[in-house]
Amino acid sequence: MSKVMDAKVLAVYPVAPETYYMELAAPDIARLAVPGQFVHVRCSDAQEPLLRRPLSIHMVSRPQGVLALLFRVVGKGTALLAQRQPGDSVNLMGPLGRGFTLPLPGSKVAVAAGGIGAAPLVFLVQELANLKCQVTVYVGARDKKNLLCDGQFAQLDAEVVIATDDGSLGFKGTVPELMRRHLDWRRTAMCYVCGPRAMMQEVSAMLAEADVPGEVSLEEKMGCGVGACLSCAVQIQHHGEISTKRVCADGPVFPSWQVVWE
Amino acid sequence: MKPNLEVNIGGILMKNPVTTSSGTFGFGQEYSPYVDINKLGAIVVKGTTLEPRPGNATPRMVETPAGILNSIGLQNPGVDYLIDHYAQYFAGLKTRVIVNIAGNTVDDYARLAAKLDGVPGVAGLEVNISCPNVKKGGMAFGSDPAAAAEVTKAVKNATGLPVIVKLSPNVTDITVIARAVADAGADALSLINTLLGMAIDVRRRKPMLGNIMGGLSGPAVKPVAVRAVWQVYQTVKLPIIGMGGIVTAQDALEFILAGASAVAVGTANFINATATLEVLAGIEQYLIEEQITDINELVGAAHR
Repeated sequence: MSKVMDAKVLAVYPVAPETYYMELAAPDIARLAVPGQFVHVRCSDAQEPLLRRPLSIHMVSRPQGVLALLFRVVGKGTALLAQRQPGDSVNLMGPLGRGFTLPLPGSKVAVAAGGIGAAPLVFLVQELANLKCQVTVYVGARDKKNLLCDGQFAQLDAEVVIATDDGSLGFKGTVPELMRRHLDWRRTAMCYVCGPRAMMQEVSAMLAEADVPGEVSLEEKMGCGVGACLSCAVQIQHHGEISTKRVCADGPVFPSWQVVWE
Repeated sequence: MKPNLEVNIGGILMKNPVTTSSGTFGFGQEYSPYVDINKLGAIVVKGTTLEPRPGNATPRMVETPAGILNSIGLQNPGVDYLIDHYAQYFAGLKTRVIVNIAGNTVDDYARLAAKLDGVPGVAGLEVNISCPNVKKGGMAFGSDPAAAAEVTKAVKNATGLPVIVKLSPNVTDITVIARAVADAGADALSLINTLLGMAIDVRRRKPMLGNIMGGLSGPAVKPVAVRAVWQVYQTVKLPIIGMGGIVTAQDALEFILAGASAVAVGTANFINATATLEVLAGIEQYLIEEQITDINELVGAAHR
């Protein structure tokens, strides 16, 4: 069951240009959350910005009751959130949405992270490590400065392969290009993807071609976060029929082959 | 002493005056983890059409100062699905369930009303002649008094359920439409639907909504809504459900003092899932503080 609560900020600091790490005391959410879920965050007590902001759960520490968020400042809401100080409180609703489906223990899996899309994948890789999976993370960014979470993935014993658009670190090019060169599809049981829409679409096409199951975490402008307002619509194909699903309540994670990208 | 909170909205007896705005509360289940729905006077559920509708292109929602613009486009699973999948749930609730209906033609409205007549758990109909986000029907009916009256008559003839007509603020004189639907037999009115608006992304130099224009709601629209309730209360003798930017009990009380017998909480649900119950508690508190024994004494009190 999802909760609404005021959570105390334990830490907040920048980790990359316009990108912040925030730690919150939220034991109920930390206990209930699974990778891929999100929290709906009130960024201001005023009437502007009015709506909450959906932020994926970056990491949890269940014993300590701590929830971590990693977010990029893109507008007023996230800018206000970044200004919070330790000791302030933040109103949270969560955990919300459907998370990733975990593979069988010991599976060999690929994880594709693009930009801020790396945020929820750290929590996923935490769980994959607990399942003793063999994980390769393909992590990409515009440049070296904007690369996120590569160190955390490595600490979780994942193999980390880096791509940057400008070649300032690792492979020069995109995550899909890197995966095409590097990945042995026949030995991959599952692939998880979160990043820009074009990247997710490209990786999904590769997965379909290789007949490897995958899951993508989608993003869409959201209102309520609980499935009532129908703002965050996405077209999903199931058994040849296309229907409109809600990213907040039916997702944000969907099977890669079901998403209608156009 | 506990004040009387019961109100009668055109034959729908509500144990208190707080309900939800259509399209902001799903079918009720979405908010049941956060709100004891049975404590509300009624819930008004998502706009329902004869056939399922996929809704409009995304983005469907944009934030604006103290408000939001939406262009959902009446996405819904259709009336037959609603009856098959939700009626039983509605019947089990200890609150009134009002179904909001929308059509492309007068006949659509009549058929919807006939289908919902006698469905267990459905206490009344809210006739949406004011949706700004669909091409056919919607606001076209709500901005023409003759068409508004025609839809009202057709719905009244097709059902024994109380009929609440939801009016659009996107008209020159809302009292003209209110009088037309009152004369056509409406049992109550909902005021107001969203205001037609739009927003443009200055970097992309494109409209922000997939559907270009959308309906503005939230605190930004409250003064317009209170004004509409005030004017309509002076014009017709029908009970009014007031809505538009209600976030707190004080907002709700403004509507009641302007002439609303009940109030609906809409956009505020998105920000504060328990807004409905907080509004209800605040109204009750106010009555106690002001030593008013019956909420109905307060309705339209600002006119006196």
